[in-house]
Amino acid sequence: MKKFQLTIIACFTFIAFGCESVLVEEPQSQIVPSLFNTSAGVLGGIAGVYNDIRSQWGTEGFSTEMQAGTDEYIQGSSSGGGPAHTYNGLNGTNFGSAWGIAFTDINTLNGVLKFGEELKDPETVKKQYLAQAKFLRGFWYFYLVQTWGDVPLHTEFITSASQAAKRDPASEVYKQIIKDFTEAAADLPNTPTAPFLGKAATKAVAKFFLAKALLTRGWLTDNQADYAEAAKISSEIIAEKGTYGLDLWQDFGDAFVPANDYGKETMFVSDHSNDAKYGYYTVGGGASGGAALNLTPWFTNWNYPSLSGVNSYINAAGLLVNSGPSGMVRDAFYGRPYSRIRPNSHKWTSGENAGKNYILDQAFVKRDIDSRFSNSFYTVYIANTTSSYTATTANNSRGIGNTLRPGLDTVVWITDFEVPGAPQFIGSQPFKGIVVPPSLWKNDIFPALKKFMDPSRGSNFNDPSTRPVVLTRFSEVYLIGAEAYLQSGDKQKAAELLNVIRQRAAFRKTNTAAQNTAASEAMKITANDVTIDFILDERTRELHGEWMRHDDLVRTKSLVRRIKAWNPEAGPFIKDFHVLRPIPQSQIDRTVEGPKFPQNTGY
Amino acid sequence: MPLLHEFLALSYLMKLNLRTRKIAFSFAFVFVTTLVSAQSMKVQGTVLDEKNLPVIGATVLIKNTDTGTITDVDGKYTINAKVNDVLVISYVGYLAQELTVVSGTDVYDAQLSNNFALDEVIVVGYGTQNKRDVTGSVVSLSETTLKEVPAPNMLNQLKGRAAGVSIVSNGTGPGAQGQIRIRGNRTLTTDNGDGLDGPLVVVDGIPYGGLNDINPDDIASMEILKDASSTAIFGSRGAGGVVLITTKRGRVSKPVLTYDAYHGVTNIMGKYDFMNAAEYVTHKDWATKLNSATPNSTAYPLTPVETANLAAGVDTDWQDLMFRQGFNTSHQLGLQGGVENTQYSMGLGYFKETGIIPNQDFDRATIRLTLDQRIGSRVKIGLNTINTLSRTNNPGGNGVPGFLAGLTPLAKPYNDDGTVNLQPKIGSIDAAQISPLTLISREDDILNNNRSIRTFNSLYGEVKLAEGLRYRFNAGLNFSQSHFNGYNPINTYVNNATVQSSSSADLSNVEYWDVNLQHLLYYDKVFAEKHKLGLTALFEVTKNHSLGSNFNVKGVPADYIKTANFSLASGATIANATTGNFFSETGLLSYMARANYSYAGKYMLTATFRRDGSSTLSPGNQWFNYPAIGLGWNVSDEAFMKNIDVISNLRVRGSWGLSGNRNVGAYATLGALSSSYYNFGTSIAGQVLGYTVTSIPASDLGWQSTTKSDIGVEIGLFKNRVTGTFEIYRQKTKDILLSVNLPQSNGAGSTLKNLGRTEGHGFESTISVDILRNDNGFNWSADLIYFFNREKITQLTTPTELDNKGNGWFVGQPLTVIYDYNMLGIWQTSDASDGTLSKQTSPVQLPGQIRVEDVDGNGKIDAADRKIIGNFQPKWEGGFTNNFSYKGFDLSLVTYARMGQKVVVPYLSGTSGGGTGFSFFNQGRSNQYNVDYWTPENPTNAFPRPDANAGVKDFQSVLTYRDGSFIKMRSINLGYTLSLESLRKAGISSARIYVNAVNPFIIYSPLVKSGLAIDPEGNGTGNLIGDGVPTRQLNVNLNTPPVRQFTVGLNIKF
Repeated sequence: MKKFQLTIIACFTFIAFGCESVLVEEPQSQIVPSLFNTSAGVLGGIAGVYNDIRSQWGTEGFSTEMQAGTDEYIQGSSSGGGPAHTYNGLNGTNFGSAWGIAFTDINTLNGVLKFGEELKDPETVKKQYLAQAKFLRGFWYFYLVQTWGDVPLHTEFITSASQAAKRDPASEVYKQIIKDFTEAAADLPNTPTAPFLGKAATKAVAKFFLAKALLTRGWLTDNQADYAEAAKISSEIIAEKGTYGLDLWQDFGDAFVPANDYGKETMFVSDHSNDAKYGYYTVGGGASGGAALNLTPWFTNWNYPSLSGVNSYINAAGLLVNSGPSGMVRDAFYGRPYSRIRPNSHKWTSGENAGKNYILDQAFVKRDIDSRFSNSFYTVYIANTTSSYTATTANNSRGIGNTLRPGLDTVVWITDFEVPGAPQFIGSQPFKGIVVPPSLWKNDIFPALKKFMDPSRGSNFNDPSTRPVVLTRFSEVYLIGAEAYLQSGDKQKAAELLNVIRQRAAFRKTNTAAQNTAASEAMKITANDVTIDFILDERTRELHGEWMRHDDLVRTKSLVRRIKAWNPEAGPFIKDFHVLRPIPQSQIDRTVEGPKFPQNTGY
Repeated sequence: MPLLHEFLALSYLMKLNLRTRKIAFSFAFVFVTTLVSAQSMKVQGTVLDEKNLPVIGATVLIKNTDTGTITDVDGKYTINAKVNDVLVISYVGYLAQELTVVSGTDVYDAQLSNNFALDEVIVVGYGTQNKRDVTGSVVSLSETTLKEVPAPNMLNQLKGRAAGVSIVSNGTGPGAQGQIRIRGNRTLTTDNGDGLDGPLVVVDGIPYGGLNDINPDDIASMEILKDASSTAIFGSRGAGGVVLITTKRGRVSKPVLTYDAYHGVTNIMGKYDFMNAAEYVTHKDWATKLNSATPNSTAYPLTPVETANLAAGVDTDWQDLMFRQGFNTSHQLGLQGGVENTQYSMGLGYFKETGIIPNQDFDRATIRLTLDQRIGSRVKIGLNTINTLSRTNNPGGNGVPGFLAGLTPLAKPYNDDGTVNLQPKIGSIDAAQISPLTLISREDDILNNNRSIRTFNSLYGEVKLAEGLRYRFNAGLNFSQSHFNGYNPINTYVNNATVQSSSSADLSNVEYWDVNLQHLLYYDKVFAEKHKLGLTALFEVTKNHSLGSNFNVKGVPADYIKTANFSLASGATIANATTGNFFSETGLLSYMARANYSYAGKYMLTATFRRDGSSTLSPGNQWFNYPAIGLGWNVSDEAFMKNIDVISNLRVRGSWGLSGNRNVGAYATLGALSSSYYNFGTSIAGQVLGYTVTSIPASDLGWQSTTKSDIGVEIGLFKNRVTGTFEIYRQKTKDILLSVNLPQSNGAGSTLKNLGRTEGHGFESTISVDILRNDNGFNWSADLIYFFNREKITQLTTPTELDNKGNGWFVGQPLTVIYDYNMLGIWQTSDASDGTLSKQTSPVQLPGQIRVEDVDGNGKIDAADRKIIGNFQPKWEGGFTNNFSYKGFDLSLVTYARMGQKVVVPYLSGTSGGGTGFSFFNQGRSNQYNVDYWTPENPTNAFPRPDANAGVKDFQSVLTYRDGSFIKMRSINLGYTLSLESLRKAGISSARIYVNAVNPFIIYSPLVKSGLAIDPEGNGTGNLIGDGVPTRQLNVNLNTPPVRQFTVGLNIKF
């Protein structure tokens, strides 16, 4: 300021002496790239990338891209339609929310790696920073290459702008990914170490992603060496689980208890928090849909506040028609009704799966002993507001009136079996609320996924969840290991790994010890049971809704086959070329120097 | 002659009391008489105006002395003078007249005429010039012209009044301004701020920085500079044209007190056609039936409450409940006057406007003072201070009409006990939304208040160094602060939350200040009678600063606290991470030289040169030169024209020059990291600041420049009863500074580059005709303006690059185009049965959905099928003003047209979650605009079928492009000037009362005629829906509705 005053005085004199300083820029309120030369800048680059990861995983658009249009999910009534669900008209203008962010992050990480080498910090700190950066670069490239195939490969920090871009072969990209994960696994600590607390990347996480990347590359060329390496690494992680502080909970359900979010089964998360600044969370702010908002808990919630009419009935077409007062209002326990996607319960009337629906008759078929269906879905909706009807209320066929009491009476019971007399009767017995058996499930009424529900929202039930989005759970190590062993021809080892998680799933706290032992035995499979489809079904049971189904189907070359077999909406439209996603049109449009940026075949 | 001064001072004081005014005049005679010297004789006279009415208070001075007097209530004066003395008789707004005293005559009457002759002096950059000598293209607008449309800001007054000047509304809320463009756009950008292609605004020689806060009543005249000869002198800030505003200053006259007031009412321009109860139910039914995923199902059935209300006959018209009559009122008090060495003017103004949405209002108070003082014969100094305090309250924001559109007509607005039904959507998925009627019922709790103070001060000092040589120093000091206080209480339209911990308060503060110093040397000399030379040299330094802060907090414990004490809130105070917190400082150094030369008043030459250096560019690229030259020829002064009586004036002029845009923001070349935050785990130890690289440094950026050439003809016929100005111009802009979207794989989304060229050309004409002129009878004059501008992109990065679809740029096309699918209509049932529909293999569509053109004919609709389907450039714009007067009556009619451009109507398409379009358009989830939608029974090609699955599924953006042409009656103003003897006796020299209607009716608008909008003029700019990139197009959206205004006003002059 003093300098400025002098300048002004100088300028008063009609002579330009000293005035030139008017032209010097001194930014005060923005951060310029030279910050990367500092320790805080390098750490900030890593944190910035983690923040970008949470701007994708758990948000609506990205979750849709990862899960919609698979065998597991079909559209809910508020899906908003869209080609992501059906592949109908899918193109580069309606796909690819993470493309730009991934590359911004990769460039940032290249900057971190470049300047991080010159840091004066202690060697251990520096090593961890660089290992984190390598892991994250591998992480984003792994996402990119799975989604789009050949993508531009950058390992140098870009300092001048270019409007040219080209695609590098996926094989080159995989080489870099495997190099990055390998080096990260060597240097990352066994357990989370400050400042990378919570469940940020550790040695075990890097090893797991290395195994998964090898397995994925193996599938592309049926490379036995990759399969073997992936299998070996998976077994190592399991063998060293104590070192890493990882293990399975005894009860599958415990993996989804909010108190266990950072527990032993959780390997790698994208964090959220109640902090206004670091968690971008404002109490009562609702969910505007912006970055960093975890909305996962609610995508599969049907519109229970509007459609839980207690006198709902079946019309002439055999469809459930909403009628009568609703016994439900929106609350935190049942969550905000988004109704974007729903478990695929379409019952096939013809073809190879005639008479079956995927969720009940294929995936969660052993619901009696396998606890994972009841641990994954809400099937009972207890009144949270008073409602009543009389004998003469429209569409009440029970012949009597009732009052449904909050906290006591069941308004909607979504059964996983057929109930004669439904919706208002069980057999000849009138039911106070309604019963909705599988034959009445449709796009606006179905079991909702409860794994991620966040009751801590309290009265601000429209706010985003602040539970972490768990990208990797320890049980997936067994599934990836099993798949790798299957592909390398060792079905026996595959069955052994699968049995660990299957037998765990048999455990229920409400069972007697004997019942648990029996159930555990009944869940066991043998080597001959193991096929890729079995593993994919098992992944549905274990990982339903955990943001990876599309990639699983693509990796195992099962996408088109299983969608045609199970998904009635996408089946008619899916083509072989859909295993790769369309390159965002903006990338193509903006590449105006040099050769054109090619779109993936078929789009 | 101190006595005279004392007398005049006394008379100012006394004139405030009208009753004593006559006494003051009596004193005048007494005092003036004492000044008489022995050799003098007594002369007298009467001063009349053109209408032969006495001019009260005209100054009569003996030239080159301090001796003088003023005329009395009958326009009479008496003064002592000697033979050969020259009497200078002057009055504000009139040309001064000089009468020489001759021996033997003692009566010297004068008739003053209005000061709008061709020889008037007009303001140009860094000085003034005789209008005859100006070689540039300049539009001059007088206070009278502007005042024909009573409005709170001059942009609203300027619409359709100046050729080459386009003004589009970008808002309709109280206090809303407009966007001004002079001769179109030059810059390729996705921004629409006035900072880029808008003009430089200069008030009394000092850059003002935007058009906000200028009280139209403080404006004495306005000059709009358009071509290079007049704008190059402003160098790097001149390419967008320059608006020079001259505020009212004192003149040598007795004090003149003016009082101008008006009071008006405003009403919504029309009623939006939202669906009523029956239409709403029918639409919902169709959405259910035509559900494209599962026919006959919907997630949004009528709620039990709606069903009951339907049976009970409820059909709520939310517009009737919400929109009300607004009013506005303006009071302006002015005083001007002066004696030979001291002139002053002051003003006090107050304006208030209330919106048609409850609790929206705007008010503004201004205090102004100018003082010009001569010290001795060589020095003159002056001061101008304009202080403005304004306040805007807009509690519901501008989106209220959009919300009303979505409200169910099957809800009761009030409960039986008369309280507001808080949740009109109860029972539906949108139940949490709260009734907009809370804007009325909770008026005292909701706060959304923006208060600004602006103080604009300029000072000059001028020294006469030698004959013809002057040094002038101008200093400008400008400060503004705007302070926002917002409080959103729970359970209101502005805050759906239900717990007090979710109440929210916002505070923000923006300070702006700048310093501008100018050192000027002028040299004026006439050589050998015919050679007139004027030289100007300038050194200028400008420094601008701005600083903003923005904080919010949740959990204000009680509504009455609002923003008064953040420390009481339960939440932590948060600084807004995305907007509102900033600091920037920019500097500009300039040198300029100008030469004006004219020969015999017939041939004129203006040459200018300016050199600007800006802090916003990297060292090495900071300086640029701007030359310009202008030539003029007063053809009618040539001998060979003297005999052509019809042509009273003919002038030809032309100019060429270079000017620029200083459109690189502070620090833009440095590159930037975006900051973010992350928490590793949930503990405080894991909280880390994050950064990602989002902008790459651009250190080799240079200046963008615009070359302009202009040829103009000015003509006057029949003693100037018909005058016209015709101009053609061409401008070429190169090295355009812009943010280029990069392929995202290159790390950052964008960078700044100097690339691209644009071109514009256009034609402007203004014709004024004095059709009937009869001093005591009927007068009729008319002004017609017509102009168009054609702009196009001529080059992108390289000559071979013909388009950049990612940015929406196409060589050979206007700067903002619509690049999208071409809507052919709606797929009909017959298209399905005859196989036309199935030829389109992707996406597979159903009858009733939008049909677009398969440009490449491959059966697949994808990005390759987009094409340019229109642009937002008007074919022409114009205005037609008629002025009539008969005896005391005057009538003016202002018509205004903008023809042939597209507008975007976002609410005719939608997105599932809101976003750019109308939420859930055609989905049956909420109510909406009543469009002609397709059903099997109504096979229209206008709008697609309702669909409970996903609203409008594919290509919905194509529904939003509409013809925005219009011709509007802008204003009708009928006035009556009283000239009653009794008024004059009371000291009132003139009084006029008037009634006025603004936007009384629309003469032509296909959009309004189609029923899809109520006003074609638009109310904002914004993103296109879908793949559209530009943000410069005009939107007609469901924002604060446009209004029609009726006003009664009064102008009194004492």
